[in-house]
Amino acid sequence: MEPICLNPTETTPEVVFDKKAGIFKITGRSFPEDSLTFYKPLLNWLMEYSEDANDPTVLEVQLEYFNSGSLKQVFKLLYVIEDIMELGKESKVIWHYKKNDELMLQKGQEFQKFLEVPVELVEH
Amino acid sequence: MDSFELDLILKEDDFSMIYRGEFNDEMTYELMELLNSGINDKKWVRKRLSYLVAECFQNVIRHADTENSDKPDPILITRKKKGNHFITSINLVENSEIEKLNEMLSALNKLDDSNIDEAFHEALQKNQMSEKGGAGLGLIEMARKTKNPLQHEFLPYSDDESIFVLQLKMTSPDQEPITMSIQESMDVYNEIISRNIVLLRKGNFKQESLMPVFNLFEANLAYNDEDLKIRKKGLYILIEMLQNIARHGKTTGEEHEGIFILSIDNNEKYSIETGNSVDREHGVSLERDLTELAGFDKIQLNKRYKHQLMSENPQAGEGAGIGIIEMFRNCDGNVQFNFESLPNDALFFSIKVLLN
Repeated sequence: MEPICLNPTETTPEVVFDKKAGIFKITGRSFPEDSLTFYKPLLNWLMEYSEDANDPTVLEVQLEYFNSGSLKQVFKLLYVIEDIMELGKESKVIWHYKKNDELMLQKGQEFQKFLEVPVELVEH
Repeated sequence: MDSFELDLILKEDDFSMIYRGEFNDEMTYELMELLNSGINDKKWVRKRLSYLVAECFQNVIRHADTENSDKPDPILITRKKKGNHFITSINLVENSEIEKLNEMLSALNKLDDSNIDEAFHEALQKNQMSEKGGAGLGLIEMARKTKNPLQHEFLPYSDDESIFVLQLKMTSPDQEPITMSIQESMDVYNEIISRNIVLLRKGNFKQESLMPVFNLFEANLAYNDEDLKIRKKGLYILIEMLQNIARHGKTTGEEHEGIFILSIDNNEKYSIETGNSVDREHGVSLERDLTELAGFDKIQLNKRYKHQLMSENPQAGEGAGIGIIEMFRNCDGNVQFNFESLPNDALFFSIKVLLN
């Protein structure tokens, strides 16, 4: 699978989805006007990847600022990671947040509650 | 609500931007970006406007008294009306400076174009600096670039100081010149002061105009750990509200028109308010959804959020989407909203969030 490497912009995050290197990361700001269009190719890629996923698969998310539309799309990506777990492969999400960033922590905790796949919260 | 009333006051404006508060070089840059994102004039007009705004800023910085916070903050108003651009700065000056300023402005306003150029070169050569820097060169430049008299007035404030109003007008060559009185600007000034507004922007709202507002807001919040919570939530709500104008606003051509207001109350709490017109039908369903959300407790809001997060519905064209639910969740229900009737089967939708 061809990896996805997107450079960050003022309103979109840096994305690395690389099966061979085993790196799956979303880092930075995410508040594009149209979150659906931005995340659609990432979701498609991850769904294709899930059919023959690495064991283990770890998705790391570290967002500085975001909009609700992006969170909804990130949630969909996390759902695919859960699918991978259900297929019998070890998988988890690492949710990074800055100390005192209550909002990002709250979002991580919500995803922990809503999902079966482990969501590990890491403070920086 | 403020957004409806101010939209009415500024109804003839294609674009308005008002800033009250600290004047420094960093702010100058962000405000120029904000101005540029809202004006679709020819490139040279935008360039000239940016230059004039920067000059006005410098002028205000020169007179700024940062030691006394009881005094009214300086204000900068930029408005575009029927192809005419107006830039108004309102700030305190010491009474001892009035005579000199008045003399210089009156003399400048008597000069024609070629005489102004002469005065400019003369001042440049002499390079006379006033005590606070600046050589009157700024004022000469303003007259040169606007090709219009510099409107000005000094209004009594205290025994030592006066309110100095300086108003520039620039008309695009293909437009009919119109006039705007100092009084009209003072009326806007009084509205801004009495409503505790620190930033107002009226015009089109596209994604490009989001970043300068975002940066200004970010720069206005002190950067320490304690504030991080407010800062993150504030910016989260800010992004949602600005993108909401684009999502729900009626369009003029390809542009989403609206008004954005940032205010700060006596307890130093920020409020964000936006206003824009919506189709009546859309407005009615939005009002129904908002009324329902306003009656929800925390648990019900969380439930609705989870439901929206998991639903397949795309965001566009919905009633109250996930963004609005998040506004209610992140400010403990401190959301006010209102719908006013407009002609042509439209409603003016205002929404205000108090950040805590």
